[in-house]
Amino acid sequence: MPVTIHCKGSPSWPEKVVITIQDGWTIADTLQHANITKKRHGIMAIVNGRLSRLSALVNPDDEITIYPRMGGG
Amino acid sequence: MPYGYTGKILKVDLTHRTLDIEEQPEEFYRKYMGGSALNMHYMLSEMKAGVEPFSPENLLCFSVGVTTGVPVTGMSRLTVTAKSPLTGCIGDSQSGGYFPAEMKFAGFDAIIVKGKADSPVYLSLNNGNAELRDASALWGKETAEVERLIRDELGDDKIKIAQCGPAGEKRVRYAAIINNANRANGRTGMGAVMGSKNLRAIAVRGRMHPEVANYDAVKALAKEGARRLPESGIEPMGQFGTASIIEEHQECGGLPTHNFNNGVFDEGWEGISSQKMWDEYRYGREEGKQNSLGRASCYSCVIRCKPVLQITEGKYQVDPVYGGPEYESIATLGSYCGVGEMPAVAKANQICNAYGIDTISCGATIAWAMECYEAGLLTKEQTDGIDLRFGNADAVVQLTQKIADRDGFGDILAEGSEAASEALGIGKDFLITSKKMETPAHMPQLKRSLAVIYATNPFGSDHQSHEHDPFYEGEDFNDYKDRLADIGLEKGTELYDLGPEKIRYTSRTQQYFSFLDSLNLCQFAWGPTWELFGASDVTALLKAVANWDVPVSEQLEIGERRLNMMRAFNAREGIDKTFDTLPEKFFKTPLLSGPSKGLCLDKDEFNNALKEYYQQSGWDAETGNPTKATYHRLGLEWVAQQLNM
Repeated sequence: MPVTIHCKGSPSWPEKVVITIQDGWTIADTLQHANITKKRHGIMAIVNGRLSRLSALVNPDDEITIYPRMGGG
Repeated sequence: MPYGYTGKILKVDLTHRTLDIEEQPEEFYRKYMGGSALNMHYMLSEMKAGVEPFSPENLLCFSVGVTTGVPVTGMSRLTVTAKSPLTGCIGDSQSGGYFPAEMKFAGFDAIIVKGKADSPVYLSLNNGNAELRDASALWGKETAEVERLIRDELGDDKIKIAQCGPAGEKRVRYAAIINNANRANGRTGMGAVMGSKNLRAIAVRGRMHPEVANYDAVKALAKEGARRLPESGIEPMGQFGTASIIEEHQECGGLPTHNFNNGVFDEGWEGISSQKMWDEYRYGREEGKQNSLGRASCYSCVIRCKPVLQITEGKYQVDPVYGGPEYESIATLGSYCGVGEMPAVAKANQICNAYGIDTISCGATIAWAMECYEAGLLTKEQTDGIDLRFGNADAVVQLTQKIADRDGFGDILAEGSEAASEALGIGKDFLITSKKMETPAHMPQLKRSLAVIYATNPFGSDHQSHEHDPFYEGEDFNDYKDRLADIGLEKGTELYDLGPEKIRYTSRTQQYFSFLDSLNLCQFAWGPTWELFGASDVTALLKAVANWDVPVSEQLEIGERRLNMMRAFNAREGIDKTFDTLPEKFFKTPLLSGPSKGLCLDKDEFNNALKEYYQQSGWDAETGNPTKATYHRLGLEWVAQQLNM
């Protein structure tokens, strides 16, 4: 089942990626398979409007938007 | 007619109750820009060395910047500067909100306060007029109540107010100055200095919007910020606030937990996470209106990152008038103390805002006491019967109130953790202080440049004085290359590096942040790696507002000038590089678990980094103080003369 990941705020990312997920994939797995990487400070993932951990499982209908984490503050 | 600034600096002598206006020429504003650098000019030129922080002779300086009040995101910041009663060094702190812009509209760029009133007063500024008024009826009252009373008395509900709270009156050494009842000039005890002067509040109101050189260009910048926001990385931080750093730091092992013994808070992070705050505690959540009611803004800002909480049931109820806790407050009052319950953290934060206390020093001081208690160095008798173990949420709320009231054990903790350690003769190894100021919630074990900044920063350990490491490390640096090239940073480093190139990044971004705190721009909107505006946009901003051509090199020089003035102030007080230290815990205690398990700092590497930093800064290797040549290069000959150089 394809899932669309919208990518914002990082010039090295594509605007969006469509990837077919497999059962049991987490957001981190999905991003890795989509070749989307980021520093150890990581990625902020908003899934269906909610801030999600990267270890959360991905569902076929999920709306995923990712941002780089900014670090300060 | 000046563009951007008012040209008027109010000089207040509380002892003699006189108010005078000083006008400075354009060159003065161009050299200092406002904010922290402008304040430092007065701290050095009008205050002698060796003044005690609570002496009437200590100056208390409030400044906005040349562009403050212009309707573009990030233009409403206030810097307060004085000699710090917590550190004995220069004290300096910034806040946002609506007060800074309104202070400009009231007709003033800065307020320089000296002396001490013989009874409580407040200062009212309105359309270029200034007046000292009786504040006896305000004394002892919480900040929101004082706001209401002043607005009632002056008959204007749009007045903006900055004040010390009851904690400042009682000279809690890390008392804050609070505006709007929820924005804090938190660090270094500026509220205690204000209280020591019997100056309870400053109320501002006006319509004297300064002229700008090119209003169309200003409008274009404002529009550009709004256009960039949805595609930038900062948009979700607007929604979830700095609280979202809880999730970030938990994931990477950088969430200080149990007084910095661990970098993860596995058993409690979720309870203090930004998503939990959004779902269960944001104002308006029941109608799904968190985005409108549960978020507040500063003047003319599109980011809107300030959380507003409301809790009406349960043991800890929270009033939206006091806003809500930022990341630093959640971590220090939460994970530092092993507390994973948002209502308790929000309640302690509310006490800090109502009484005027820095949440960072407060939470970190309680965490230090908790570690002492767990180690058997403190007894229940000493803590007024409070079971001060990590994880006791009630204890954090109770102690915060006792600190605010200087009641019992709280009176000892109101002096700060280092003074408490000395007074009780315990827990030196558990301190997490630099220059006697408690360390904020970013871990130098992971972000190594923070080790240098925490140690060397003239006003003690601070997390908003430079850009953090991840932007310059590994392949991720590629994303920030273009932006950092604006300030001459083009190489990047490896993970955890602390070599000469990382020090160059540290020093250069510190100079830039120092400039931002002088022009008084918000770092979230204008920081060198953040995504709304960059250094070249500042050049456009200053052209549009003041008709000045200020290249990035000059911006960096202004920031460097401010840093060196601060270092000069400390030098006058006999404070040199022997004060540039880090807590021993950072070297001796590897982090306990999670992704950062085993990490600690290496002392030799740290010492080498310090040498490199002094050298790159143009500071003397033996003393760590700026050299005569450095002062002269920065147009500070008068400071060198003052130091007999």
